[in-house]
Order: sequence, then structure tokens, then C-alpha cells
Amino acid sequence: MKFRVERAEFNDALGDVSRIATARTSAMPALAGIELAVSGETLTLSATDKEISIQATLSVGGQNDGIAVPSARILTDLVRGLPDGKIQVALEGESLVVEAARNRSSVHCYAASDFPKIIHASAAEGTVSADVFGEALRQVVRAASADLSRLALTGVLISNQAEGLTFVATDSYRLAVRQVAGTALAGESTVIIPARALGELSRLIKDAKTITYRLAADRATFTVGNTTLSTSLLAVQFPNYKQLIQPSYPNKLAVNREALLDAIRRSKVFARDTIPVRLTQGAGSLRLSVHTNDTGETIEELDAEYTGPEITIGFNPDYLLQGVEACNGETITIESSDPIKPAVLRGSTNDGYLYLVMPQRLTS
Amino acid sequence: MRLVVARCTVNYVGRLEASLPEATRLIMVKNDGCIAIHADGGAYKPLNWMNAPNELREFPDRWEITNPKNETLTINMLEVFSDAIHELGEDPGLSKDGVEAHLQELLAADPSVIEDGLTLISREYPTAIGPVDLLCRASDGTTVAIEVKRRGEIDGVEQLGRYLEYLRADTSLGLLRGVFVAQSIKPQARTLAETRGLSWKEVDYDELRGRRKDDLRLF
Repeated sequence: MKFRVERAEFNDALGDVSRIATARTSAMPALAGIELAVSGETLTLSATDKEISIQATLSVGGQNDGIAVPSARILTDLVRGLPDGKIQVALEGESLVVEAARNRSSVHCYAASDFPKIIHASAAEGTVSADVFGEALRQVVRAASADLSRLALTGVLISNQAEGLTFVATDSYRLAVRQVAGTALAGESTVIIPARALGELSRLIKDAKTITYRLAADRATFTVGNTTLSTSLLAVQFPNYKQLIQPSYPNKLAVNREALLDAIRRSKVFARDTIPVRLTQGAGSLRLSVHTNDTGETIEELDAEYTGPEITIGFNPDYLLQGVEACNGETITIESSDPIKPAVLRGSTNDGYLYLVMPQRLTS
Repeated sequence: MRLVVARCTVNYVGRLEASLPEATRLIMVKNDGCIAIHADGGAYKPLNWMNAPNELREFPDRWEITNPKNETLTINMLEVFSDAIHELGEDPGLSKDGVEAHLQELLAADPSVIEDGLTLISREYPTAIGPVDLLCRASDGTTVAIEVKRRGEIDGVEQLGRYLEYLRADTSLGLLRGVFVAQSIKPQARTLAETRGLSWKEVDYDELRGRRKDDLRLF
């Protein structure tokens, strides 16, 4: 195997693909590698952790077809540090030899036969706007759980519903729902995709205009430009989230989004983990306060429109901040009914997004 | 921080005379003026060193370092392989194990987890022999010194004992007792704590850090 490639293009492709390579699985050391396959004038880079795989193709000056599987980390770090210009890459024996300018480096390779075959979803192809899909992922993926003991919560439910294409994620403390009216996906009408895979997909979107997808019963494949991400789907029952959303709430607060974001960030200097930020909502104002035994306290007042009796609700500051960040528009509304029942955040753009967040119990 | 790797010989003249024969070594010149000469082995102890303040004079073939006590360290540079200066900036100091520090933070936020009615006086209460993790006030007015560890072993109990001994010299603290807190405490450490009149308490880190059993959840 031998090819010449521009360092910058090779570096970008390695950056996209190598993130998924993993050194954690000692049973399959080749998963820490990145497969480089040259066929004619095309180089295909592949990495996988067996659940998720990413492949990218590049046009190169191919000289000899072949396959090599060097360490993803070593090759990525090496190429990142090389000067711009042409790089010559060749497999010599069991090592990948990289030559650029006056540098010649040799990277040991894994046996190509140890690298698993990348599988893509076998289903009809569809396309969706990258802007729309990417924004929905930005708003929803954050609410998914990383706790593998509750597998269903580590995924994002994507389904065609009457209201439009619906994205849902929850970690049981908050729930994010985004509905995209007038859009539906072809293929499986309901899938649960690992949030980790969708996080990677978000990074690949960059300035792409469209995403091509294939949704099969057990696998989803997304193509953005020259890069393809495939992931196995979660075969689990997603929680019945619809029952959590009330049609209306007695208390409604409207506050400037940026002012609220800044105030939460300031309160986070004191609030953390088990120490909630308290939102006291009353006529014409919202007061954020945090009290700690050891570091001190902070209180901040914001102008707000409020209907309902005065109420104080405590929230995990990170969950609240992430919810406000995900809402679009100049104004945020927070609807609530009780200090121990979930509150709903929505942005003023009415983009079909809501973020339900469970309060934290307040002690005197 | 200046790091020099060089083949060198070293002579020290001061309280005693010592010399290092020719070998390749790492010479560290720290920003505060300290100098340490290291071999390629051993975790922390240099072969030779001079604490600040020092005066370092560089000659083409040797360095001469002298201090106000008229001790002199002469490094004869036979071949310099590397001479690099790095700006390290201000050091934040030694940080505790992440879990242990977080455990302390969580207990400071709610000391009643350790004992009903306990309120925080100070976290990292300073003493000349080191900071006491938590100093609290019990509901009966007693001052309570608390040592927090991830794993409760004998050395933690002994550490708490030393703090209490020191704190008792400060009569303004009034009646004083100690509690040894950890995620799990070994039987020997429990026995030692009880023998020395100390209480002990095991706490659940996961529960403290927001995964409380009474946490409000959507489902």
C-alpha cells in the first residue's frame, strides 16, 4: 500500500475518524487502530469500537492498493505535528512509513485481518437537512444519560409522529423533546440511537447542507460529505415520556434568555451537584439564590413576567443551564405547578422544543 | 524551570565534602533558585541539591553555585545534551484524590449526614500540622474535628488523633471530639478509633453526590 496525500486533508480525515478508535478493549487490540485502505485513487479511513464506526474517503495519489492498520492515536498525533505539504505513506513490512519534508516515521501496525469489517445499515436511502437535524441533536442529545445500567436512557428516540419528526432524550432528571413539523424519515419509523453516536454525528456535520441516512431495524447509517457513521441501534423500550408533559401549568414565568443564562452561570460559582440554585418567582421578578454552608451565598434579581402565586423551586444548576442553552429565542418561559413537580422550559421561537426538568428538594 | 541534561562531575564543599563521578545527569534549576541534580532513577530524591537562596555563576566548562553559608557546589560540564527553559507558572499545590476531595466537599455542604445536628464551622481548618478536613459544631456545643478519607485505614485514625491533640491546646474551641469518616472503614481502623475515644462513620459517596434515594425523578 502506498499513497501521497495533502497533510491538511489527511489530518482532517484522521481527526474525524480516529475519535472512535478505542484502546479500552484489550480483547481486540486492533480496535485501537485506524484502517487505511487504498484502492486506485481513493483512500478509505475506518475506525470502530464495534458499536459505532466512522469511515471517511479521500482522493489521494494512489501508487499501490492495500490495507494497513496503524495505531489511530500515534498516526493522528504524528500527522497533526507534520508541516503542511505532501505526505508519502507506505506500508513496509509490518510498519506504516510516513514521510513528510525531512521527517520519516514508522508506525507499527496491527494485523489487517484483526480489524473488524465495517457494517452499514441495509435500507432505503433518504436525505434530511443538516441544519434541522443538527439543531435537533444539539437540543436533545444533552438530556441523554451516560449511565449504562439504564440502557434505554443512553439513547435518543427518533420517530415519525403526527406532529412531525420527533427527537426525545431523558436521563430521568430531565427530558428534552424536539418536534420538527413537516419532516419525516424514511425507513424505520421509530429508532433508538445511542446518544454517543449522535454526539459524534453532530461533530461531523460542520458546514454540510444535507445528511444522507439509512435506517434499518438494527442499525442506522448517516453520511455527511465524504464521512459515514454507522451505529447499532438500542433494542430497548423507551420510557413513556408523553404522560410527563401536562397540557397546561398554573405558573408561568417569562424572562430574557441571555440574562437568565448569565445569572445561572454566576450562581454556579456557589451551586454544584447537591446544592441547588433556587428560583423564587414572584410578580415582576425572578430571584436566583444559592446558599452554601462552606463557601457563602449569592442572590440575583432579574426582571420577569410572572403569573401565579409566589413559588420557590430548586434546580440542579447544570441541568437548568443546559435547558436554557438549548432553548432558542430572546425569551424563555418556565412553566411550573409545584416545587417538587417537573417544570417546562420553552424558547420564544416556538421551534417545537421543550425541556422538562425535575426540581431538587429544598431544605430549610 | 531550567532543565539541563549533561555529562558532568559534581563536587560539594560545605558541612562535608562529597563528589559525584562522571555520568549523565539531569540538572534542575528552579525559578526560586533551588538546584537539584538527578540520576535516572529514584522517585524524588536528588543526588545532590542546594536550597535557595543561591548564587549561580556559569563558566564555559563549569557551574559554581554558592549559598550564604559558604557551601559550594561545582558542576563540571563535560558535555551538554539538552538545555531547555520552561515557564511552569504558579503551581496550584498538591490536590487530593478526586473522590476524597469531593466527599469532603459534599459533607461540608451537609454535615448532618455524619451526625444529626452537626453544623460546619470551617472546612480545611488550618493547624501547624496540616488542615483538619472539617471542623463542626455539634448540637450540644461540642467542637467536632472530622477526618475524611476514601478508604478508612489506621493511618487516617492516627492522623485524626494528632489533630485532636494539637487542637486541644486551643482552649477557645471548648470541648472537643473527633469523628473518622470514610466510604468504608477497616475493622482494625474502627477498633483503633474506638480505643482512642473517636467515633467513626461510613458514608455512601454515590448517595451524597446527588444520587440520593429520595432524589426527585421523572420516572
